[in-house]
Amino acid sequence: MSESSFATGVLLKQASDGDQRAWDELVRRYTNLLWSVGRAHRLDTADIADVVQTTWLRLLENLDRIADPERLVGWLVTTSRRECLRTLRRSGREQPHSPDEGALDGPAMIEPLDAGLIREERDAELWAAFNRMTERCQRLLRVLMSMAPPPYEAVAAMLDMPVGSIGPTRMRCLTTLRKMLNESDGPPGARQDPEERR
Amino acid sequence: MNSIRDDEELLARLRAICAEVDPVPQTVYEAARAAFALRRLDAELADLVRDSLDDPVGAVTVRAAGLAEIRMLSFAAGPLALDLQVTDRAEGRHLVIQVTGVELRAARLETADEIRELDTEDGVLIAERVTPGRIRFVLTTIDGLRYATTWILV
Repeated sequence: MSESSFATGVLLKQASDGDQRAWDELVRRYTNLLWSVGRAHRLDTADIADVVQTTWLRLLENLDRIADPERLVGWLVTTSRRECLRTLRRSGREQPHSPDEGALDGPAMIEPLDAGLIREERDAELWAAFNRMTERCQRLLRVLMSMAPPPYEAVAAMLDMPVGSIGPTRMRCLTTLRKMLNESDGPPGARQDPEERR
Repeated sequence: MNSIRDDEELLARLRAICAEVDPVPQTVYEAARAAFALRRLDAELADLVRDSLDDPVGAVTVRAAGLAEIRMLSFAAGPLALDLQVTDRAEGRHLVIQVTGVELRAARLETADEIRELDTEDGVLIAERVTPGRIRFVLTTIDGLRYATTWILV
């Protein structure tokens, strides 16, 4: 199909034949995406490192079994998401199969990262606004921020959302974020939650 | 008013900030590249076929009974079935492994930082004080066949 997915197929084949450089290229391309999946699930750095490494080890085990290279990214995201959920359940932060769907529309619980690293004031404001968004928006945008933006099918699988709603949700979240930025520019006062409920 | 180009710009800014405040540690890349050396393990893969963390009834029942939380996992490959119980203890994970369907000659536990030979005298294998993180088992049968479980996080 597309050139990049064709290339992914070639890399998979080469890696399967023992080519370390092909493997390194897969790692270079998709590690950032896997990292964002862990972050979107609110895992800490050590747990994300474990999930990412386990996902790569799983791919190594399955190099000869990935039938459709076009779906490699979806496979990687699904595999890492499953490990994220198990990690959360193991640590008691999420009960098995009690998805509190509404919670995603509430304030996010994502621990803010060290914003002190941001030099530009304008960027610091943007990051602060991002951290005030609902969890659903933060998760979605966090994954879209990764260096290799995944296909919407993979994003949908990660967020348990229908594929068709990714585009509209993305637009709504970005609109909200822009509104929050404009509000923080204006006079302080009656600030309301600009996020529409689904 | 909210053009596609504006959205792309905003995302690009977020992406740049993200690269600054939440970069992927180089050690994560290095570990993933180094994993390739482990690829050629001459063993049949035993897939994970059940994990009680995915299974609400089992987990809830164990909790309701007031017992220590036990995670139960099952792996399978051909005639081999491996059942694993994981208990959290202060000193580390406590693993109880039962293998059926084949006769074992040797079994070893691999983690991120050690390889441990397990005693196969009894039908049940035990590994104590296992550091939380990724593990797998590599089994050799008396016929010389080798099996490796898929990597899991405990």
